[in-house]
Amino acid sequence: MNAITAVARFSFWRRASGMKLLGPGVIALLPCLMMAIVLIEEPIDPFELYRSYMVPATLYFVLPLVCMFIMLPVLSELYEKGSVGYLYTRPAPRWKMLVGMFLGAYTAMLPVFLACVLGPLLLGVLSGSDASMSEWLSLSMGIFAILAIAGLAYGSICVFIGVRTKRPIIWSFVVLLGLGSTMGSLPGAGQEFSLHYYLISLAYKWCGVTGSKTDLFSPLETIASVPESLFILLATSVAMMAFTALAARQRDVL
Amino acid sequence: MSAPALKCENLSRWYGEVQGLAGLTVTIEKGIIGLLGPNGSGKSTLMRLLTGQIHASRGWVEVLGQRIVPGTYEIFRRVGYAPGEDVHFESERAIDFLKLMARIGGDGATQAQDRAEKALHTVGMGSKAGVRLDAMSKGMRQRVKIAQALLFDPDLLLLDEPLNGIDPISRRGTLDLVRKMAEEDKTVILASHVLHEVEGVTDHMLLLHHGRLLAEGRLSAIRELINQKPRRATVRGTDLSKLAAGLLADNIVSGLEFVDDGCIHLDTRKLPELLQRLQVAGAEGSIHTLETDDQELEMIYEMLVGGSAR
Repeated sequence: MNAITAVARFSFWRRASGMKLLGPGVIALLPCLMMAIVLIEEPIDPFELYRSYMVPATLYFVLPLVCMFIMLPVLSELYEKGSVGYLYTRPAPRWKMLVGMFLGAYTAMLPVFLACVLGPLLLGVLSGSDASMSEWLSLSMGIFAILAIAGLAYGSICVFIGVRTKRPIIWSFVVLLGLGSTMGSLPGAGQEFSLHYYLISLAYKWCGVTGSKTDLFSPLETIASVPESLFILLATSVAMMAFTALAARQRDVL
Repeated sequence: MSAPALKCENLSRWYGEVQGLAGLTVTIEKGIIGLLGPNGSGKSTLMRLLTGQIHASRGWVEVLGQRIVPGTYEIFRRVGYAPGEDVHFESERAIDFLKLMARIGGDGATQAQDRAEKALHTVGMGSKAGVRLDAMSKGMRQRVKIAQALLFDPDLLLLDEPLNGIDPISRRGTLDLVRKMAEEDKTVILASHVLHEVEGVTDHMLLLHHGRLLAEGRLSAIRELINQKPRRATVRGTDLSKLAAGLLADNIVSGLEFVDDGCIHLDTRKLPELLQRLQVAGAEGSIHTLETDDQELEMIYEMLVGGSAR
């Protein structure tokens, strides 16, 4: 465990130190900002505004972008600089290094997700919502749990892309925003092949998010069960980390 | 009988269509081995193959008796490696960087701290343990790199251009360290493109050129060949005509050319004797600067492969 915990600590501070969380933090607070603007313009209940519009927007935009910001450079940066050689020439299996790097960066992502749900909660409560505090807390914590679970899956995909490809930014846009958010939001059978579908299903089951009233976020035609959604998301995380380990075995350190 | 430090058989590596290393077959027992060659000759490729960072396109390599294949890692407890690239763990303090490396190797927190302190002390960086790597000079980072290679008291130490960018005192310290390891019956492979750096610590060398093993053996034998070739020294100073006359009279120089009043080119086949005489003249204050052509490695290539070396 020494190797994993040491690398995780290193990875966490590498992602969280200085101003490195500022960018992801700004992205995470965008729904809150959008909510504030709408509340000034429109007489709408903040709870309904958040649940119907901001939660889908959070899952569509904020989640993939925050994952890309924080998780993508975890290994790709070390490969680009050649510094990963320092880690790989240690007497420890590479998978331990990969798991440690992943866990450290994932931990750095959690405060960003927390800010993402606490911002709207505070705004909603302060702006005189009809919903009770317990309703707000239930919704916010539910969304945080979904983001945390989704962070494992999306984060592991980002780490895999970072190790496997030499153009990680392009590939992560294609996979997370293309195959993820967009395909999961389009009507039709393709929805079920997207992780986004399972996130929306969890949001429906845990938080009562029935889909957006806009055309951008199409309501789901079917809803996956909670066990199925959790299984798909967690299995994806494990599978992607296994693929990452295989990719790391093959990729040269140059 | 213990296994050789390094054994390669037809070891080859291509990067696409570029040949990094071609059919290297060599066995290295204990001691200090100079791995010589210009940039792009395959030194770093060989180092990376030895440490499992890249995989062979053909052939195989054994380090301390263990075949290096994808997934090999246990043997690296006995192998220390200081890469040619700079350390990019910028935001880390030297001690934290080394502790991280030690903990990845399986140490607990206390043991890692002790090991890191000892390694930094060994390379003379004990007092800089708390300095961040991005606040260090290149020479200091070089020494930190060597310290991380020494963490587990390795039986085989691989140093890729370890003297690049370091000051003369650190250079001497590094070479002393290499000698000390050899005295402890360990093996050091020292990659460099500067002949005299390696020559100071070992007479045994592998010479690579365009990914191929050009020569293996005693440096002194090749040195004798070099000394038969004319060398040129450029001297700046005062009263040079008197000095030149003395050198000609003693048959130390075979030709000379006055560039101007304060500068003279001297051609010689007896470079050590010439340097000795110039040192005496320098001590008397008549010489301001002295330059010798540092083309020894290129001369070796010319001798071994003819005019096509470059």
